[in-house]
Amino acid sequence: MNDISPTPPVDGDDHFDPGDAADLLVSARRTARRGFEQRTPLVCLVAAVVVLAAYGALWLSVRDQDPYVGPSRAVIGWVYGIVAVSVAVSMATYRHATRGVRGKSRREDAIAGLAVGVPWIAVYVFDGALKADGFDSAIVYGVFDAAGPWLVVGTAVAALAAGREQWGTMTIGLTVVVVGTAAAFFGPAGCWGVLAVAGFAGLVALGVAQYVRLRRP
Amino acid sequence: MTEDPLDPLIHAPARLRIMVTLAALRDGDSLSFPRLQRMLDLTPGNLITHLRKLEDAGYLVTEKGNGRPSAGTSIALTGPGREALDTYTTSLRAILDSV
Repeated sequence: MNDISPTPPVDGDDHFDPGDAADLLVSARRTARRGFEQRTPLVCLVAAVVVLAAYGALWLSVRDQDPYVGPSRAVIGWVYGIVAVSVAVSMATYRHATRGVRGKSRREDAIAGLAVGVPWIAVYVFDGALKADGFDSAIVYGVFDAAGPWLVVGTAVAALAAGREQWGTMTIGLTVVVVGTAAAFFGPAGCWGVLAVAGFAGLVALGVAQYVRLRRP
Repeated sequence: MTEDPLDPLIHAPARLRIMVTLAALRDGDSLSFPRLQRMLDLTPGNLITHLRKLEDAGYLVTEKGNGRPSAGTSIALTGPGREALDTYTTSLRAILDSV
């Protein structure tokens, strides 16, 4: 197994009280669960703040526009910056959680990353086609830009989760789709504001749920 | 595997922590020796001794990778190992409930 020589165990195999064993089992399970968790409460909280700051800034920049022309370049630059911070935090957490882990889940994570990432990027590429085809800014830089990522990412997450029979994650994905669809009814400016609040609230709720789950025995 | 109410192979602090840690991995995954050692804070020799006992019982499997003796070894719980841990947990709960 290893070049290092075995040594006699130093922990007492004898006289291990069942009560102590139960305490150790609970604490070891909790430690392991936290160690392997990728969607930590901190990641959820960072994502919540990022969604609020990004969608909130976009809403502030377009709410009084008449006619609607879309967010300013300065705000778009700000959004790219904070999204980059969020991605960096998520990647660091993922690397920490999966260090030393080998096997099927790493391949599944890579596939999931593609299944979610490609449609997400495609939304913004599709924007270009809509603009080139002469669609109004209220559609291209408003409703579609705001709600589109929610529809495609939510659908991809729900489909992946359904394939793995992860019903909780599937419910989250479908909720994202429903919220994204409902937000579109608030118009090009209102859509950004609704999704800022909904995204923040949803991610905070997810973070709290994760915190509770990681603390339970 | 055993007639003892609590499986003696699992009923030892270090081995219980090894089993519980590996059980937290997703199905089909294994964990590198260095990461397991860091998570459990055991010496390499001590960890190997416990791993061998559990491997001999068929509770886990170790795989060497790429000829790197320490960093290349990964460990995974087997199906019987997961069942043994479930049985142990159930037995432990029963014992504590009866007190």
